[in-house]
Amino acid sequence: MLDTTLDSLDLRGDFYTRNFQPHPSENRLILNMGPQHPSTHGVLRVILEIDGEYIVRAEPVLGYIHRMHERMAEVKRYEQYLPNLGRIDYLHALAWNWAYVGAVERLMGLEVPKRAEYIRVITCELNRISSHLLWWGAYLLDLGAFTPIMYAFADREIIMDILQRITGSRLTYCYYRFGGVSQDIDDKFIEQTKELCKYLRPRLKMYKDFVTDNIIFRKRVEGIGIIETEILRKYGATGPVLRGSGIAYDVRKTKPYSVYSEIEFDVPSYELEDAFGRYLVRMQEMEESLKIIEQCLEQLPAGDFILPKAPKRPKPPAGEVYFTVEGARGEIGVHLLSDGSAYPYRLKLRSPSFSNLSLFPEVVKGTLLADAVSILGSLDLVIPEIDR
Amino acid sequence: MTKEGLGHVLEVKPGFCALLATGKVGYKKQLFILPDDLLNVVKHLDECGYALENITALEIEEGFLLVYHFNQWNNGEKLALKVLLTDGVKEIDSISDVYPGALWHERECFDFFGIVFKNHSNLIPLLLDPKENIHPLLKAKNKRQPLAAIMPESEKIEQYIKIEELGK
Amino acid sequence: MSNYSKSQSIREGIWSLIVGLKITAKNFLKPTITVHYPRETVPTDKLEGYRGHIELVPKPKDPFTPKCIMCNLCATVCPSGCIKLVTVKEPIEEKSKSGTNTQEDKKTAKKKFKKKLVAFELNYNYCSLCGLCVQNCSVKSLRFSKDIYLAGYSKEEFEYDLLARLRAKAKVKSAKELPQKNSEG
Repeated sequence: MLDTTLDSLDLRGDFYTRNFQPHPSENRLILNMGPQHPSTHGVLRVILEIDGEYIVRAEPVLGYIHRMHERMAEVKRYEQYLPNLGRIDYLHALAWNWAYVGAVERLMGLEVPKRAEYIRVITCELNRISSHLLWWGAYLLDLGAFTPIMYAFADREIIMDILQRITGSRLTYCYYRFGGVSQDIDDKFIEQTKELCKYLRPRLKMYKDFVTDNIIFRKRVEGIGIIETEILRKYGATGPVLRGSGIAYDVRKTKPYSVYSEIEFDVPSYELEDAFGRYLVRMQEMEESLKIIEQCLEQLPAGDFILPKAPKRPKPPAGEVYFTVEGARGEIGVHLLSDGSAYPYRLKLRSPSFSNLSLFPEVVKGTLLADAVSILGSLDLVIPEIDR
Repeated sequence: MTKEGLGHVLEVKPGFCALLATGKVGYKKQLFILPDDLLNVVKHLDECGYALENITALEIEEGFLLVYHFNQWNNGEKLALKVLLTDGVKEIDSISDVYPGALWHERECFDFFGIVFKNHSNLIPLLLDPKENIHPLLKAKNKRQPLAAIMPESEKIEQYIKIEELGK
Repeated sequence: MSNYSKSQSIREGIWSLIVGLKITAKNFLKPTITVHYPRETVPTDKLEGYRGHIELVPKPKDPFTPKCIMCNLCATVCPSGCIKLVTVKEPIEEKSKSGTNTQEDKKTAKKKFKKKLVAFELNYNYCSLCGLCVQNCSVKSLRFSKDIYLAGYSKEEFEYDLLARLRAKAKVKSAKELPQKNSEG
């Protein structure tokens, strides 16, 4: 006999929708935002229960670009896993490179040459600027401003050209090696980077006049998506999301790794707690990154760019290591366990976007649907990093 | 199952945490606790102002090892809680009542290892296909290593602390 | 909010829009910075450091044979397993120097085989351009090519034989050089 109930006909959505709302309710609408929604920057799906224009409940659904990077680590040798790191967070690939390489170095007790550390800082900060620039353009695109992304991409192009010369890639970098970097930087790179710093400063000022002071933009971000400190702590948010709520926690400053302790820079934080606070943090971070790059170029020592004795096919001793670096989105952690063989025993990738997104259902309760887009954008999500 | 490699870890008494040597691992503190004490300890950490950073699991010869990473924002000092599930147990209390951020991390562990978290409000697959019941990070029997082989630090217990005195 | 501050905030808001429009207008009059792709291409100086797929490096004196010693390091280090070396064992024809074959010579002649590279297969579909093969090559027989404009209709078009590619390139090069030499002579 044909069963014509709602369940059997699959009319009430797929597994996740049914799990989200087992029984139909009056006056409330279940809305699927994504996975092909432009404001979700990739393939994130959010199930929303809305009452009129207001959101009652929200639940992100993940896994649309899940690649099981952690399993891949267990079947590949240490050095074979390097290209994977550029693909976890494609916007700040070098920070992931660093987290993994740094974890293995700590496990093996490798001492990285000073010059290599400086090169790492310079390239990582360049990458951070390009990541923030893309976020800036894309966020404004979400809010309905089309032009800024053009300016952002024009500037980003210069950074990508600079990094391409020495890393060989434009987006998914695989530049750091155990004990150093794969290629030395030359005078042309230094000259280009210095020019970039000179060029970007007035551009950032122009961005401020152009967007930050703009009344339409301000109305879309001020007082929207307020995240309290307590929520941040319980969900483990890091990065600009945390600093936008007034907590100046930055791994580079609080627990300096590499040569960050030798460089002077500030950690911008705003106690606004809203989307505007997070916006301001990122805009100021770009200026701080420029400051770091200029100092590093001045202090750049001569020497090896990679440890001469560095093993190309490492076999770290058995042990555990947890190493974190500050990425563009927050604290990137690599938890590595080795049993002494050439393959990692277990590798856990702690991605900042994962924790940052997990507080979204809490924040979005009771806001307008249009504001949810603004909040989602202000969290600066990179979906491949969440899904891994 | 060999219990020799476990050393002192199994000697942890209820109500106590074993403070392990940290070495080069990168934590300020490393604690080994019994599964039944987990909620108690986590509540204490919450009162001390720790932020939840990460939850991860791994399969070893003795069973499953769960590692909870906590962090303090003012000084960046990390704390790792380690809980061992032995004798085929695949269940542990969920800490999502104290730290709601654990909801997703626990779902991920459920995905990858099939560990069931009791009192979890929404324990469905997070990243994997809900139709397939596969746990990709489970290891083949001959690939599993004993705890002492991958965490030499777990052998050296510095002292036992009462859970109530943890904040000090 | 008093009337004064309200009107002030409105004035400030309108001014912020005018400032934004000024910037847009200024940039509108600037020359374009993008490249109209099929009609224009990226200048070669912008391609410095660009990594195309890998290619074999020929011996300095013989452009038809690569430096490769068939150690298989590149194939084993590749994370995606997209390199495959096809080799055959060829006996070496022992030319006796003096014409008198001693017994020792015979023994070694029987045993001596030379590995010969028949094909160097690269499946570019799975390559992630990490550069580990180039970095690990012990005789520096691999380098990145500058092939940037690659497009194809099927997967098979990206399964290259790098040895054949090297030879074809050398052939073209020598064909170009030959007439020059002839005219010179």
